[in-house]
Amino acid sequence: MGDAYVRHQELTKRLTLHVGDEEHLFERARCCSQPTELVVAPVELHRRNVQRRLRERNAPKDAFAFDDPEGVSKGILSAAGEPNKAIDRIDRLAQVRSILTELAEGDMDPLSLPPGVSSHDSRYIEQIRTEVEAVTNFHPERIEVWKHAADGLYAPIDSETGEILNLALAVERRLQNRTAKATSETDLVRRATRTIVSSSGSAWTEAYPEIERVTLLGLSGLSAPHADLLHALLATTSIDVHVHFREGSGAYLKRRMPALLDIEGPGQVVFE
Amino acid sequence: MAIVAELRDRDVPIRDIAVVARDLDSYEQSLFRAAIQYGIAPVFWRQLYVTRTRPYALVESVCEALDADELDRRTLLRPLEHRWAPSNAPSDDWPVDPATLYRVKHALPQGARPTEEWIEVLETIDDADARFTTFVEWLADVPEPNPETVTSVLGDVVEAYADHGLAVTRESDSPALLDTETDARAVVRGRTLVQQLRHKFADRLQEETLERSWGDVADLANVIATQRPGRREHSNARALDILEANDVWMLDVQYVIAVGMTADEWPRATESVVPPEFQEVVLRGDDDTSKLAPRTAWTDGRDRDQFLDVFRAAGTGVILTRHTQTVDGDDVHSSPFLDHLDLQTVAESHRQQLLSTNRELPPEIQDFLEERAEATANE
Repeated sequence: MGDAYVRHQELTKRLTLHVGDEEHLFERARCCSQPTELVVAPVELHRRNVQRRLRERNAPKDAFAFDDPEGVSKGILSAAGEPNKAIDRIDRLAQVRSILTELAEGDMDPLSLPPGVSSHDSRYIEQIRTEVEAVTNFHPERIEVWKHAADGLYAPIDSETGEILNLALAVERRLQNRTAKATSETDLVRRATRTIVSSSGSAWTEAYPEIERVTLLGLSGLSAPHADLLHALLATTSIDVHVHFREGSGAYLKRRMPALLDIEGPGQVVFE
Repeated sequence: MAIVAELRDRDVPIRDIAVVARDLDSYEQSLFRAAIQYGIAPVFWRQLYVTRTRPYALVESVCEALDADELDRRTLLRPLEHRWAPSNAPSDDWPVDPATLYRVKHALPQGARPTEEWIEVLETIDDADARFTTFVEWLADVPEPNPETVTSVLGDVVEAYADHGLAVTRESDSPALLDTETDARAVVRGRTLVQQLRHKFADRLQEETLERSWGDVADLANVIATQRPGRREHSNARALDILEANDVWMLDVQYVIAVGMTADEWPRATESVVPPEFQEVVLRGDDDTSKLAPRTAWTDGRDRDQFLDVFRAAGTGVILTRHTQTVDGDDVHSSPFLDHLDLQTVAESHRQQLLSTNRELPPEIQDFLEERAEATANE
């Protein structure tokens, strides 16, 4: 407990959480030769909106580099000399379809689907996979918590919730076995997270030597994969991380953020 | 749109106005019609429906013409209707103009025949000049599809469109060049599509889930083109920005007009595969469950974010509207988000006046303009 507390204190020392207040970014606009702040927004149009505001203020963009979390992850992986290609949604859906057929045919790992779900509905199965991924990042500790919390519900919701988890894990595991590439863009984020941790932060420094500050903007939520990426950065590098939540959901997310960092080994998955 | 037109009449620059809807899928058609009615050029910040664009139609029609062993005159000439041109063609000759196409199409006999036979038939038609022969001979010479030929053949088709087809769009476009912009974006997307086709076609052939036919190439192109990449399009300085609420974040526009402030749309329930009981546990986040990342889509958090962004984006005024009935006549209720706001309501008579032929801006909105004028004077 004491150790965990100290660890947590260390982690959050360079993490600042905001609700709104994105305009502060404009005050840091200046002319310089290299960007020193990485502005990360998941929505492309949001990055454009920030750039448009900078233009409207005649403020230089020099200090900022813009990207989304997936782009940043690709940068880290390629600087570390690791593959940074992911299969796209079209290919993933095709794979999921054939995984479902395989699961239905063989009696390997019998898999019961939630009531009302057809085993041919690859889009629905893919939604299950992405939702479980967003909540757990397939991290062992979070998977255990999910199982435990599912058990605490009343029947039949308890087994339904457990089956959703099993289905998502079964599909993700088979996807990983079928391709050497990342199974999704989010898998790239996970791989980059592990690379940062295993290189004690040097993978980050290689990719972004000049960056002193990461600002994450425009969030209406914070998924476990994104939280784990920030976790890895905070644990192994000396950069400052600022997260700007939005005004409707910000207060809630700000409260929830610290516990999301309270896991061991960000980026680890149950499949190993 | 009447409000936009009135604001424009009062010299408010088009860049200072934005129209926001929760979801453009359901509003694009009606907003488009309304904009045209009021003489406003709208630009929708949304992803391009690639399959509805001419470069895509051209690629599709070429694949169809190549796929058929025997083709009728419609299938044969469709690529020319979509402005096919050979690569490195002199710019004055291409594309074939619609009038010539029409005459040739109607001079050609009915019935399907192989491409080689069409070459002979075309020689007997007066209006069919050398360009028709060039095209049909090109069709006859295209090799069987494999990943390389798909890229080179369709790549050339898209590039020739960029050289010749796009110019036709520009000549007949309105001054704001909205169609040209769409067309140019579609060319860019067409290039990406052709590149993706190469890899995907190779994969599918290897997996043996596709046949080596141009028809299957067309099907695959359709699969790729109809995926929603989540990428939005950008704005045009001479047109009215119409955007989705999530995209208004961080913008700074004087007047924001938000449509569809109804209980169904604000907030809007999102489908989740996770049972609500479990969502509740994760959202509460007691003890260890706080390690699970809550999804704001499970609550109205995202809706509230976007609702507040609408207000934050507006420098001078926000105008909220909603419909009161569905097309089927069912009553529509207003969004609960409006309940605790101190709003000024436009009187019904003023609303009627705004929509009448003696259009007049409601006094409630005129106040905005005065405030804005004062603010500018004080700057």
